[in-house]
Amino acid sequence: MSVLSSDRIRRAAWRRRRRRRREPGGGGRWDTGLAGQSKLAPYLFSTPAIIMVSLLLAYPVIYGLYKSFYRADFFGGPEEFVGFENYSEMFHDPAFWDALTKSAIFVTGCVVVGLVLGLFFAFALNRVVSQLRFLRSVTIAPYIISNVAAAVMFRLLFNSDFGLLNRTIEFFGFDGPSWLADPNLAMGVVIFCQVWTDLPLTILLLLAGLQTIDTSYIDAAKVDGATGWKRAWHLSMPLISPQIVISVVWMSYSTLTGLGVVLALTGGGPLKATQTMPMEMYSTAFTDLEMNQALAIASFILILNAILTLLYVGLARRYGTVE
Amino acid sequence: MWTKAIVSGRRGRRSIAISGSLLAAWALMGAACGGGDDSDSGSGGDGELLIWSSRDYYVPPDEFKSLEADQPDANINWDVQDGDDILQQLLRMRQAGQTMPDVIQDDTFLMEAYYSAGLLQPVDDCREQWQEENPELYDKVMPLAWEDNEFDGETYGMSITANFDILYYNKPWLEEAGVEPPFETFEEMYDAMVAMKEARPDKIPMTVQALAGEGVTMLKSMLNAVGVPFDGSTPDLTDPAALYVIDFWQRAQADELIPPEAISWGESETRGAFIQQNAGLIFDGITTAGDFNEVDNFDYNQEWMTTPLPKDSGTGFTGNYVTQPRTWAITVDADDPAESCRVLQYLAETDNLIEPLENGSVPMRQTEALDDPRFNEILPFFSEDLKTAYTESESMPASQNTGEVEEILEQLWGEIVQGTDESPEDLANKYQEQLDALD
Repeated sequence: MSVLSSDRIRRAAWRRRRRRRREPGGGGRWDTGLAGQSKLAPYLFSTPAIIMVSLLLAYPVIYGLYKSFYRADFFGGPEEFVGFENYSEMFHDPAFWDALTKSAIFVTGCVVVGLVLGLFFAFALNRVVSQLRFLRSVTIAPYIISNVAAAVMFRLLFNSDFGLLNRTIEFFGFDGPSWLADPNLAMGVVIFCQVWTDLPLTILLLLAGLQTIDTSYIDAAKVDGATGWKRAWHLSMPLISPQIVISVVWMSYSTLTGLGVVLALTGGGPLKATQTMPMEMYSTAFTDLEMNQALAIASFILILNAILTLLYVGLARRYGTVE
Repeated sequence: MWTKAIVSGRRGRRSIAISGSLLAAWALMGAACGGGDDSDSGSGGDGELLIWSSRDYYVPPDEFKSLEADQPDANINWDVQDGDDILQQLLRMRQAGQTMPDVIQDDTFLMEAYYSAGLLQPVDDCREQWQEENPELYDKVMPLAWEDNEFDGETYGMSITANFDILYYNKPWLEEAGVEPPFETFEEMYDAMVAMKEARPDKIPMTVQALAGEGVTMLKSMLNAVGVPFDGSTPDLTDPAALYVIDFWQRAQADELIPPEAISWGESETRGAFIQQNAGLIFDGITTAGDFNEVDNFDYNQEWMTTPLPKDSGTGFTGNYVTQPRTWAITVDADDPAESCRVLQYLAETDNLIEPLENGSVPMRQTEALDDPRFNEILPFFSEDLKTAYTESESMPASQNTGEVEEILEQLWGEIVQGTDESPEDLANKYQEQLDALD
């Protein structure tokens, strides 16, 4: 009934708009919409926001992109237009490809581990009894801790000599590994720490998705004899796929651009084992003082981020989970 | 009719409100973006002077009040910019058309970048003015304070303070090993480390830091101490003295005299190992002594003492001690250089160098202040040996590409600390190639 009514309203509005457009002088600047409001008003009301976003977000990005085509002989010196030279050098630099590889490992690790843990905790928290519902709000705690502070905390935790983890391992009579000194383990620790800082938002997003699922679907599945695992895999997961996509996009963005954790935990070491692209950008800008070259890396990260986001959304659309 | 008028009136008011909101938004954004010469961030004329210090402990305790009292026309403001980004800030301010502070302080190794960017004005006239006005004080400033800041025949600042990295040692451990510092040579120091290892196999003879981004002061200081030639900030790693240094640390690594975990150690872990008495030696800045002294049951002259790094390998290589100075400089926006020059004089006064030591400042390149009895009271750890070493020292070699050079040396240092099968010659050639490839 309601569907039918809204359809009628939409059709009536469309007919009205078409009629007005055909009338001489119709569809003018101050023409009013269905609700009696000026059509221009929404644009005018949005203008301050558009200006703010343009100034605070778009302008720095475009300016950064523009400056990546320039170069100064020395820091702060006069810049000259060099076209794609900064990009060409970047692509010919083995350090860039090494950082890209490290970033790929880092992002993949964080997204996979983050998503698996996020789903696990979201399902668990969705099912907790009312007395334990405070756990849902407790989950956000890591998110309010600065990621640099968290990284420093993990650096102490994973210290091979006096860290709590190795002390615990030693208590059971084994020698703990050199977590941050071993290049392979260091990447694992960095992924763990990054996931720890990003996980709360993932959990909240997925939990919110799970709570919007109509219980009648679940009940129907139960009546059909579907087990908990089947209900989760075939029913809940497809229904929360928009939230999964958002989580993946968020985690991918956060880890591809994330600097704080790596910088404070390993500084890109040992022996560049955790030198991700943001770290490479950081050291190019602030150690080598080559700002324009660093902007080329920043622009590349920006474009890569956009491509990855489109890819995730495209994949989700292709498999019919997101409209 | 009435309805139309009301609607039209409402629309009119709405349009006015929208236009007003837009104007307000523009005005707010304009105000937020700032700019212009009358910005608060810069100094104005008429005796207004703005001073930026890179650390709070370099600001004299009277906060420029006595200087202001001497110059009734001067209105001195100061601020601490401890984000290690004064150079970037000045560039941004210049680009935004803002007035930069009159006097700034930063690491001396960055001064060439400041100079190249055209941010500083020469202080040669200031030196002349100072020499005329106050020759006594001028003569107390060590020549190195000026020499460090000379570019193309002109002086661009005064490095009146310089940090000095020294060796701290665990006194009972070395006594137990039958060794009495100071170490005359690096080979003597090596033997002491071996003796400590034999006496305490589960402890670390020397704690070092090799975390990426934490710098390679130990390596660079030792390269200087054995006389490795530098071109700007780039050492010649293929020089026999540099090969000795690489070999020294490779041997130390192989003999477990330094911990391989140090690849992930920053200064906190390194200092922690020394304070917890898990390590016998540490190479660190003189200011760290104050922190060590605050630790309970870890007292100077009881648990730990200080000594200079040797400047002789013991195998025929000799060199110099190096310090890491900070420069006070006058920017191009200082519209009264004579007044700014008086700030430099004020900062070089003995009281203004001694009293900040209480707050964590570093030794100074001013002879009277170094000999002042208060100096030893505040820094009892700065022994006569160290004072002699300090006065003989040079500045850490620097150039515009110091950061890039350090990044490469960090890799070399990391590889040594973690252990490698490559010979010193192979390592030297590998990293020298990278150093030579820098612009």
